[in-house]
Amino acid sequence: MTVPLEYQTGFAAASLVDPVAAERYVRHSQVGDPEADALIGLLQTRYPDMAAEWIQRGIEGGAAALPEAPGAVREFFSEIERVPDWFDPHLASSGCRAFHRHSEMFLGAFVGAVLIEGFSTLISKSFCITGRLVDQGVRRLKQNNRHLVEIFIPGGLDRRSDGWKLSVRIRLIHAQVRYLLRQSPEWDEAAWGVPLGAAHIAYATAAFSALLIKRAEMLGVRLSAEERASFLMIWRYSGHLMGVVPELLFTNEQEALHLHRIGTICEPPPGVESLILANGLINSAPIVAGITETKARRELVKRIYQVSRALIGDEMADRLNYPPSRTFGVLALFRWRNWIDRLLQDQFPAIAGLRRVSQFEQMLKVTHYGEGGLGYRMPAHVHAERDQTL
Amino acid sequence: MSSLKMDLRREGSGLVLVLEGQLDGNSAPEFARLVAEQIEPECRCVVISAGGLQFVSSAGLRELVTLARRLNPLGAKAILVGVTTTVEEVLEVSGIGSFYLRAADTTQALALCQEREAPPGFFGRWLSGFGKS
Repeated sequence: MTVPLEYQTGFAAASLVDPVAAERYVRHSQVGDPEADALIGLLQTRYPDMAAEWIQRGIEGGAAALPEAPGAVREFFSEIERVPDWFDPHLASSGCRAFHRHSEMFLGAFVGAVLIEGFSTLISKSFCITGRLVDQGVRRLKQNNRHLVEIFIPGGLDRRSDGWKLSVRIRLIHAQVRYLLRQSPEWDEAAWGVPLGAAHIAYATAAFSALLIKRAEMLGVRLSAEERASFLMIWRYSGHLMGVVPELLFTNEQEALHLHRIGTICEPPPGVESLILANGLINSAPIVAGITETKARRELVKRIYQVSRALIGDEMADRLNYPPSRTFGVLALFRWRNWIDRLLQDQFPAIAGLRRVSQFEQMLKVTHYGEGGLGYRMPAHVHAERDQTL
Repeated sequence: MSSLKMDLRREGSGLVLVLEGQLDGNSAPEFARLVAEQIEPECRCVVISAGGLQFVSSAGLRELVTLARRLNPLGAKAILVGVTTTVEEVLEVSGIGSFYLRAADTTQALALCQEREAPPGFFGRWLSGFGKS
């Protein structure tokens, strides 16, 4: 196996921990998403004028909505409708309820830790070169939140629901960006592997699920075994829809955490792109929340840095050039607050109801909703500034 | 590409909105436009007949919240009728169900519209005066 240059040191280290998992991870850093890549390649080379329309009709209505499209296009949209036997929509309810009961903490852990940790990998190169997270950071963060919210709405992963459609849309946008980046002289495949490769998509899915639970627990969130399993199953299915290859798609929490651990060792230390993305994310978070007044925004940024450092640890925070801050007692305060909250909600169900409403309304504020419904326009250029807002 | 069929009629000073399909990312903007056009200051209630509503996404919930919040200062009621089990779960999990009164059918909902609010008791008066100078 050829190991991309930037992975060589990490691969050697990860091989000492688990050689099979390390080999699997690095091998998949050189693989994209064969089915989606073939679809995008076909559309871009032979049917560029029909690409966006067929993608929209395919996601909305399946193969039946594409009578005039070539067989390969129809097959793709037919195949993605096949529901894996491990996904049971009836078991999704407890994961959805757990997410909404603690949505404030999950979103906090998502933005303050999991996304940041995700950006510390080579995936940051893809996002930085295209500029899609740097130039349109606020919008992208809100779109990420939208996906998270939709998959955790009860029924959100049913074929006709928004969580399902957004998961497939993400898969095809990744394939389109991969197609553009692989043709760009800016991308060094020998050094970095395939842009938005299979390993990175699997790593992100593992982080958004098992690592998210772990980080939310650091803030005081408590889930039952049933809720954890349900939460994981929801992400597993969304990962499947986003094109995570079966070989890298976790089947349980331990597997997801192990994949994340091995991936973290394989990845090179965060580069300048990771620094740009992580710090950009933290600085744009108050704007996403609608806080524009300078003093209040600065105070909140300072606070997010502090909580984020406490969640991801000093070593990673220093690597990402976080400003120094004391983290003693930061997480304990959250845990204490959540413990009190839980106690009150157990005793007074009305308080639980009010908390749910206020959390949900807060979540709506930090989520992107386009005026024209779900958008399906694909990026046409490597650099975001050459595309109109997607 | 709307996934929602909407039928709207006026009943006295109320609006009855019959929904069929999905209130989701595709249909929510259209729902918002229709509601914004039709609600007038003298509107006393909006009855949403949701028996044919199969799914509500977060975009749909957002519009339901916006509608309820818009009716509140008018002193108008927001009433849901015939909610399916699936949609009920979405409303419950998100907490948004608490914004809406419930009725068994449209007739009962319209009767609810006619009912005057009971005068607020001591705590009601105190709460409504809370924050006012």
